[in-house]
Amino acid sequence: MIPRWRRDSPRLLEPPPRPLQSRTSAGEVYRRLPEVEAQLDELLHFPTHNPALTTRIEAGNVAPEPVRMEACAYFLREWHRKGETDACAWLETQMIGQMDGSLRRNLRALDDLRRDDAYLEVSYRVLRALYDLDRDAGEYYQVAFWSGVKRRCNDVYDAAYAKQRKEGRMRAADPRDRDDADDVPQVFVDADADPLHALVKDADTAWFDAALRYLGTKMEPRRVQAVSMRYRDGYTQYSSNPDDVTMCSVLNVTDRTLRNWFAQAHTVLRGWIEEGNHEQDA
Amino acid sequence: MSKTPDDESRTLDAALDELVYSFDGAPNAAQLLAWLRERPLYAPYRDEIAGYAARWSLRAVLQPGPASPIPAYDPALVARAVAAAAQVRIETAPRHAPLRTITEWLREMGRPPAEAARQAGVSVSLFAQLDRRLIDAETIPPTVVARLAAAIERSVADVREYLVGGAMLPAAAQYRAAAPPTARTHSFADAVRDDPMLSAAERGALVALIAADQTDADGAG
Repeated sequence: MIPRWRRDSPRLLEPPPRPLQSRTSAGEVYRRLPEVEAQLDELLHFPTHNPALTTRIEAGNVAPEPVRMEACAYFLREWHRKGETDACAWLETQMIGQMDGSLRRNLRALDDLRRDDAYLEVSYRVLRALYDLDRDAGEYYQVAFWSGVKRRCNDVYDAAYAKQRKEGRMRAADPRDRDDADDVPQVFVDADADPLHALVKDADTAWFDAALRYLGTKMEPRRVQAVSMRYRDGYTQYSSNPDDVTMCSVLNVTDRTLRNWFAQAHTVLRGWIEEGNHEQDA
Repeated sequence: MSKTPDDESRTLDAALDELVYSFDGAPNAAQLLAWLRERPLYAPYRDEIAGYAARWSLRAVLQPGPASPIPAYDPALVARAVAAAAQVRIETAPRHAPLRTITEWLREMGRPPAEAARQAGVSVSLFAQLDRRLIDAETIPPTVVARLAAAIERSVADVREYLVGGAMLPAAAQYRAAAPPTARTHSFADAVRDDPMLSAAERGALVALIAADQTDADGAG
């Protein structure tokens, strides 16, 4: 069925493209990519229902000259501003259709129920930012659309994954159903020595990533996070200078707590190695 | 002027957008610290930004690899996302004048009420009763209100505000008494039960909605 807005009398949008307002940390106004600016210059002259615009957007990435999502983000905001309701309804459907593959790929590690919720949440956040004309947040999608989508996927995934893990533990009637519960007993260490360091210092990336995945099945996410920060990303554990970025400041725990967590990780990984699973997992 | 929590939230939000834009993959500690040094504006949020980068890094390890299966395309899920987007569009649209009647509003838009009724998932008869406010607003399931709002392209708040107004007699009604009679209202459940235009399937779907919304309300209470 031809959308009703296509049957309306043509209404030309006014060139040139509306300039962006939001600024980078350096104080510079965000700039659209040259190819996005070129597309806007070309397409703004068409009425909303012109096939030169709609067929290319509908074809998505398989169009000979695909309309970039950054340009679609511009059109959606502008049409919303002008009250072009039917055109917006059509374009939001196209944009969600084009985001679909990315959302399914980025959220696939979640279970079915939570993946659907996360999918809806990400698409909602993106569309909300685009439609909220009172805030500049939606302008970012005209600069780096897929980067913005990736960011929202990350945010929503983290929250959903933490909830999924917690509820999985509750369903299993695990008596250790506190947020900070782990599948291994607490080990308190007083010594400064870090046995985990000796275990992983010569490990290659593939082995260590496999070790992190194994820890992910046994330990609470924040503790696995600590191991990753220390031994994969190279963060400093503690500093007396309050202006330094350290694991203690980021995770809001004491140095002693971190050492306890590393001792637990060491216990878990020793078991993994002794069972011989580390070779096939890596 | 001091910064409000909203300003702070916007700055952090912008910082995280810029971070994701700056790196193809998650930065390690050295890369992140160098990035932060170039952006003193973000210094108050350095721990939050580092936490985000660290979660990003770990997520890349824990998530399934590119060879792992991607869930199949789900048209129902896409349709739900589209419906939610439509509601956002309506909520963020410039405010209209209050509804005088739903049919009058549809007439302005050039849309037949039957089409809106179908989109809202109610019969023409039920739609007319909603339009004349013959159904107690408190008994109308929120899902029906939301569907009605989407169907007539108004916000849920607009529709809710309209539905709580007084019941209306038909515009062409004639009466002999000195004072106009009062239109009687009834519950949404009664209206569904007595509606001869609903098929069994449509009635079943609406009854299920009433039950589901009642369960939600009981749970919230």
